[in-house]
Amino acid sequence: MRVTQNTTIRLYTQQTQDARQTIAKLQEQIASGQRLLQPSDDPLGVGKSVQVEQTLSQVKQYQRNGDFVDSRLSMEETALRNMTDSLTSLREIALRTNNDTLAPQDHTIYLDDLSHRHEEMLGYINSQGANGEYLFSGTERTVKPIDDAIVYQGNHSAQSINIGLNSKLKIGTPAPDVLEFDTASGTTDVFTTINQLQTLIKSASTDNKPADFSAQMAVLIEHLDDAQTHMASLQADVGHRLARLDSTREDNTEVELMLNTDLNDIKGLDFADAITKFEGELQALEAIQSSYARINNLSLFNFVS
Amino acid sequence: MANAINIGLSGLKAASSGIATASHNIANVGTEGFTRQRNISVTENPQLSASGYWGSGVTTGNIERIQDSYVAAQLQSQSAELGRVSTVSTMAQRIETLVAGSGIDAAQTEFFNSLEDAANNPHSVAQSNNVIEAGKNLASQYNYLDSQLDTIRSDVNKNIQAEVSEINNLSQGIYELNKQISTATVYSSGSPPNDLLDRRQELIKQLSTHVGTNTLNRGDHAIDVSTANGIPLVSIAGAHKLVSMPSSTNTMTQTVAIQTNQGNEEFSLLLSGGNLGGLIEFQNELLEPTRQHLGRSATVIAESFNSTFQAAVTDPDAKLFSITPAITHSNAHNIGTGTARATLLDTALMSTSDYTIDFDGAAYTLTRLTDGNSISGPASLSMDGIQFSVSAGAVAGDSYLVRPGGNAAATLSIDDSYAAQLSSLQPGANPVPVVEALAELRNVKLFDEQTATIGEQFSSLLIQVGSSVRTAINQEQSMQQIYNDTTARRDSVSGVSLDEEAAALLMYQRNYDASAKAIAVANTMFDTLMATINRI
Repeated sequence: MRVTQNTTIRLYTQQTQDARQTIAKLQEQIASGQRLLQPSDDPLGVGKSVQVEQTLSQVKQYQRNGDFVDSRLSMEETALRNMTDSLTSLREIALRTNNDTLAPQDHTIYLDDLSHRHEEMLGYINSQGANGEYLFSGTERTVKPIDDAIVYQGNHSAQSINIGLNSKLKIGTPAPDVLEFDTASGTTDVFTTINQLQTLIKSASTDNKPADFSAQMAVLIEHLDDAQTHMASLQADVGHRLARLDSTREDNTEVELMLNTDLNDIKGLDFADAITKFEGELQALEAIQSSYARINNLSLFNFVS
Repeated sequence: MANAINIGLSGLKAASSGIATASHNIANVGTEGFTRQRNISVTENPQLSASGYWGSGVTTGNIERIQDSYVAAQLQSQSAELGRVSTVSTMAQRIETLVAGSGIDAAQTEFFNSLEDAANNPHSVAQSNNVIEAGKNLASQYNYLDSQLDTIRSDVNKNIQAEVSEINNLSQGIYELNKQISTATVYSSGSPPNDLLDRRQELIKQLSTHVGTNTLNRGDHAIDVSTANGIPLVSIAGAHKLVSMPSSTNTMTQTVAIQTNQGNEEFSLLLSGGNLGGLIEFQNELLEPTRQHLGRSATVIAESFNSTFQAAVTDPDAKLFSITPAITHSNAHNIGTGTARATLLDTALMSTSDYTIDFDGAAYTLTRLTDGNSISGPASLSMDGIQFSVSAGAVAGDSYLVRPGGNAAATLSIDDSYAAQLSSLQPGANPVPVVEALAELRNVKLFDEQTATIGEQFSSLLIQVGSSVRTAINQEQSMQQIYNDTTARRDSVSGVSLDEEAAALLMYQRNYDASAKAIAVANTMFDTLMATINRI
């Protein structure tokens, strides 16, 4: 091939241009630590990485949701434990009043105690979270679950919260589910039982103490036992949910780690490789420049005087 | 002896003409499109004498261009291809930078995260303000990207105008050179005007970088030029002007037309090659589809959120997002008074295509532009989850362009009146809290016949744009390589080598010296003879 001035100049321009482009790209990769700078570098890889980033952000949100669920379930657990304690106190009152040696006026003291426990129980079932939301009103969380007439005002739905990929957890139990429990003689609820207790003790504080007082009291004690069993199972259920939350959060941490590894595999730069290439390209560019300078000095005109 | 002096003189002339040509080559070593020239020396006619034919010196028969016409033709077509692919690649990379740098994906994720936070505390005013802010940010990311794409659209329109005016200038230049070359060739009784031929060839090559061309040698040394699809640019009649004008189907885009007796005839879809062909290809195959993709996203997001919102609060007027509906254009040449309308029936079936409706006097034909699929029937037709209809008054030959995505991406916004009530909204018949129902949309496959979520379809846009750009860059690189190789071949054949010219200069200089010496010898011989005669 016949080599002319234009051949040499164009070749030099193209070669330096190519080398400079490669150097610029490597420099950008090294500066950002990313192998993929534009979707066109690897369209599918970038598409995948965007989805991985979306999932990562979603998992982070799950962790935030998990914090929230954790605090709500813990509050629920505390409220249930308090209710169980109240039930224990009620049972004690029932046991103490179920005593034939007790004078009618002695029952009045227990009536006071009883109405305290009633208020206490009302307070627990109307527990509120950090933002004033009610724990036991279903999804109507601005509504006080049990009003003064002991009528449920909430709804029967429970809020489900995403705590992991394809994993939801229910929080909040509608008050009726907390209060109602089964007995040998059918379903009743905590406030009805307290009410019955109150009526029975009141009757003993007068002269009209029923003959079967002990028998009636025994039934109510049995009911209180059933209520406690019911509360215990609710507490266990919350405990299970907390345990599931913990294991899901651990899963999330693992998923996060895995996704970050994926992301690094897709986009991350092999620094050693990139820096070696960078050095190589720089040397090549210098070689192109110095060889061009030498070729350009070669001319027959230099030898013609 | 007189003969010897004449022969010497012819040598002097040939040598100095050789030096002139070498100097011309050296002077033009850097001239773009210059073809090196060479003197073709021939012997003078011999003279008959008693002892036979005597040589009578040398003459310069012709000055020819050293070129390979096949390479020239290749350069012409490769310039057009390189012009096309480099324009597409440059413009496509602008879109890529915008889409890849767009905050849409992050804004979508943030919006869903804010909804989940709000779902945890559905009655918190702070949390629902968060949702509104995240929604506003999402809308503004769509608005911003669309406005950036709109800037590219107006740049494309400006570039089309600039290309057309450059093409007209070059056509005029070629026409002028055609005339000069014909005259010069007649004047020289057939000797080629080398430098004019170079200039014309260079102009044709330049023209080809703007639009694909075909050339035809006419008998009178002139060359006719037409676009690759046969629209005449230069003929014996003159240079034919192209005009750029708003397209009759969509006045927002620029089209190319040629002036005819019947007015301007649009032909931009037939254009191929060159920067102009590249611009039109980019506009139709990447820019508009990307905008349609965004328009569809904005539409589906707005419609899905709104319908979930309406169901959750059992209020058919409740809206979280506002968008403008589909855009329809009646063709500028329509005679009738009918107008087209598009009603969205099913967002999941929405495509990213534009549609045309053509009326032939009896039936309407609805065509999906991305693949050309069409259906015919009455004035109301449905395709891809959209009901298309044309109102009464259409006349045969009327056509309409429907863009379902329309300006949705540009106009997506949060509807403040309803959004402001987010925290106080009570669930309607559906017991799931409003924000929780909205947050659920994150994982619902709302797009492409229920196969893609909002997040997935954005990454599919990235993949689509990335692949187009990848292809464009690959094409540009390989075409650049091919073009460089051909240019190197041209340089090899037609380029000036200074070493060669230096050698030629030396040779002609020696030639000149020797011829001068021959004259001196003849002169000395003449002197000797005269001296002898004088002595007699």
